[in-house]
Amino acid sequence: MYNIIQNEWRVLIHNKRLISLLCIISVLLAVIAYFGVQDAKSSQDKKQLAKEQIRHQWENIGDYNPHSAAHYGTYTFKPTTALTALDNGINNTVGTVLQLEGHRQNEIIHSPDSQSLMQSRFGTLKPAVVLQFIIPLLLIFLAFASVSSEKEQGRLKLLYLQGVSTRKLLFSKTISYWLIGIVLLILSLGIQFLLFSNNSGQDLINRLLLIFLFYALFYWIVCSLTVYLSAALKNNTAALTSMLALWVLWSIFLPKLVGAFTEETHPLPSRQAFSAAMQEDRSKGIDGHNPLSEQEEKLKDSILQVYSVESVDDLPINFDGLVMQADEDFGAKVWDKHFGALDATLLKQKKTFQRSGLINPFVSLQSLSMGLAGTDNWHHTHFQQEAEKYRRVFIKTLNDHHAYGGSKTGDWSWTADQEFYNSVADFDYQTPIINKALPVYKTDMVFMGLWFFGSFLLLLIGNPKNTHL
Amino acid sequence: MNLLNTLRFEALHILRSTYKIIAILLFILVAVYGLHNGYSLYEERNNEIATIKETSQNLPNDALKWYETGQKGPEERPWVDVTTPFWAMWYANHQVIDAPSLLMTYSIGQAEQFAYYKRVSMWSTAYDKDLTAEISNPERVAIGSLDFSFVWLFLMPLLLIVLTYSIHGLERDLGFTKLLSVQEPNRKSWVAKRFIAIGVFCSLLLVILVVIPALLGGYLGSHSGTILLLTAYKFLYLAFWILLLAIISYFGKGQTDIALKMVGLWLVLTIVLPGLVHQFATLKQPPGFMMEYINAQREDREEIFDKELDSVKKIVFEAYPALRESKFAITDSLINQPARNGMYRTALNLHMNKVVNEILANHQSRNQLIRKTYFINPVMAFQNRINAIVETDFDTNQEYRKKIQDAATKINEQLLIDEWNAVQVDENHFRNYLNLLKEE
Repeated sequence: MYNIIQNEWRVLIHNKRLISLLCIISVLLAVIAYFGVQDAKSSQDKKQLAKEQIRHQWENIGDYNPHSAAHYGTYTFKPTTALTALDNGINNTVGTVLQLEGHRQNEIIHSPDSQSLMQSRFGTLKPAVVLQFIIPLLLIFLAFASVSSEKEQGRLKLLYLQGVSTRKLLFSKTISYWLIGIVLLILSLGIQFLLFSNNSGQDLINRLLLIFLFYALFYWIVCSLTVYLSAALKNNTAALTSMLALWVLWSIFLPKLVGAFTEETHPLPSRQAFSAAMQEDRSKGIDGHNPLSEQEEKLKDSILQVYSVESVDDLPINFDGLVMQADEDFGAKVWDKHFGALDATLLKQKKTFQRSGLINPFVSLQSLSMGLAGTDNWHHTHFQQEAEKYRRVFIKTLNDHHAYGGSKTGDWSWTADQEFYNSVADFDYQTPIINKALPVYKTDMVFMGLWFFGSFLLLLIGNPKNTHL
Repeated sequence: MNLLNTLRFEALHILRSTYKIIAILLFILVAVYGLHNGYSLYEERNNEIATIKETSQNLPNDALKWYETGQKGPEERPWVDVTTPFWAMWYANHQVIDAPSLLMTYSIGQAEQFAYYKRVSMWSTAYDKDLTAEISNPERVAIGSLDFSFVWLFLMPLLLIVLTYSIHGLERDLGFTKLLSVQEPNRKSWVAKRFIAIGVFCSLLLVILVVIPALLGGYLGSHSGTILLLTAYKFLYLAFWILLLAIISYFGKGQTDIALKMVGLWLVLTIVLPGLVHQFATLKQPPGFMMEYINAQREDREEIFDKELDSVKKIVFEAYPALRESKFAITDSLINQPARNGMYRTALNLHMNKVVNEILANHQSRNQLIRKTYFINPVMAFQNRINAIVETDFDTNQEYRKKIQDAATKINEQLLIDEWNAVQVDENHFRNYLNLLKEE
């Protein structure tokens, strides 16, 4: 087997056109990996600057009423992970700015794609685009004539005479081309690792290793199928057109079709319906800015009882702060219900989409690639949920200070000092480690594994007709 | 062989090839599905707009009832007084809607990224946080929608490759080129005629796919000019690919070589170049986090509200000279709180107009950069041109944002004039408020 692989590589190395093509792709990969890293770093720096500016504003808010400060709120910017440079995932289509303020759970806004004309339909040219679309195509072009040309040129007989079995031949050919994909993969991921080596924690290494593994599996699937078809179909052209058709189907056509299908099977509410339902639920609870609400009266009675006083004016605390927090607590239940249902539907859509990996391993690869790069919807939702957790603590801190900081009910001119505002911690988001995210990609991993074993079995037990003498 | 014979020959050639027939049928199926997706989005948006228009009548209807019964507002909100300009304007509940273009059927474009309705009040701006796109799956949006423009701009070239890679390549593979020279001494003309024949078939397909939805939708007559322009661009795009593929075919060394080059070209034009341009534009002019807008909404706002009334008045009076004749302008000492608030609010609106215009200009400068790359990125040039024709492009949304900003300014202007003239709003005046944005 080793000799066949060696021979195959010798032939490939002597093919000047192929070497030029490989050089072009390697340079392209290196250049876009470099620019991808530069882009990610510049984005990280800009976000850091914006974050510092917002914090600076907060730390210079001066003497301010805590509830006014809750309305003033703060902003957080979706962080750029190191592997954004490899796979941009959904980053261009989702927002980057999230306002955290009192009374509401906002949505993340201002996506990069909404700030200019359409620039591409397959996203920014990141290494993932090359690794997902171009390299598999290159492998198809390299391998489509691998067995049929041996037969056409009469070398197959010679190989059999030397004791090479069909199985050995198919495996050797597959490994030869697969290794080319692996070299390009190592080149791309290596550059990624080297350029981000200053912040390469264990999680980054784990993620890169998993990315390597699944791309390697996908390349194996592509190479083995191409080699098999080369051995099974009547000529080179048939093998090439079949694999090209499969490539178009897998990477261009099916993902879009299945994507549209998942939205039909698990429909999302319209924004209007979503907001109306939330408003309806919200109106049933306490409204911090409506002193005449029934719920506020109930809260007032219970607090007066606790402090054994007749009127809110006699309270040693500021009742307004308690009302605002009760408003937040009720609001949180409403947001959890509606945003929770939305996230659940999105997860159902993701699962349906992932199941299409049974007929299309490209979908599993794409899902794993952006998931492992931390640029898929799961990571996006995780950021939003963590930001919301922070918002609740942030607003509660302000409301508690409003209630227990020394002011009296109805005194809206009362202000907290800068020292208090400085003591409110800033939001510091940490991308979850990959172990936490892996269960989300179980289906993708299973299907990728099944496709790998399927293609392995095909080479092992398949008996393609071109290998018959 | 004349063109008519070539057409007949190519038709026979296609009909005898099962996989070419399958490719054409699959293409038609996907195109129909793409058209269906575009039309569904149009329908969804129209239904949503109808609901919004209906529900947005609730607040004005409540106010009209109060005018009739002499009430000032809802019992549970005693601070509401619809006889004051502020609350009357609030209850007028103005909506600014970006009605979908019927031609969205042909290209969804960037429509899914933008909001298309908004309640506009005296505080509104063109970049408010409620101006967010419809709820959708971001992973699906990132993959992209399967609309007719995707089918034509990205899949049609692939269909052309399937239909043409054997032209001249098969003859070369089988060693028939010398025989061909005897039959057709001019090889260029022979290749050209065969490609033109394929082009004619695809043009027919294009006309059918464009005209039938328009006929079924009943808008062929009303939108004939735009449909013609759209078809012309799609035809031009088809011709562009026919020319490129014909050149590859003429110089190709065989079917495999031709197929390799054609697919390589498709890959470069549809994925590599647009992706490179996207990356280049992102590095050259990175999309921002709207810091100028955030700062305007927080720091600048605080600054304006901290100013003395006289200095704010100076700015606002300059913008609205008619205010100099208002009741409070003449009798300065009588200025009430709503008039005072209105002055600050309008000053903020004027400032936000400036900030929004700067943001819009920044976006346009990024777009200029993208447009400059069209000569190396022809597929996206066609895509954006088609989006512009069917009004699903970025510029259409910019126009909509401007409309929102203008509407907020108009509301502020009317409100301020009434506040500074201490107008008591009655039913008639309220109806004027309702009609304030009528042309919008």
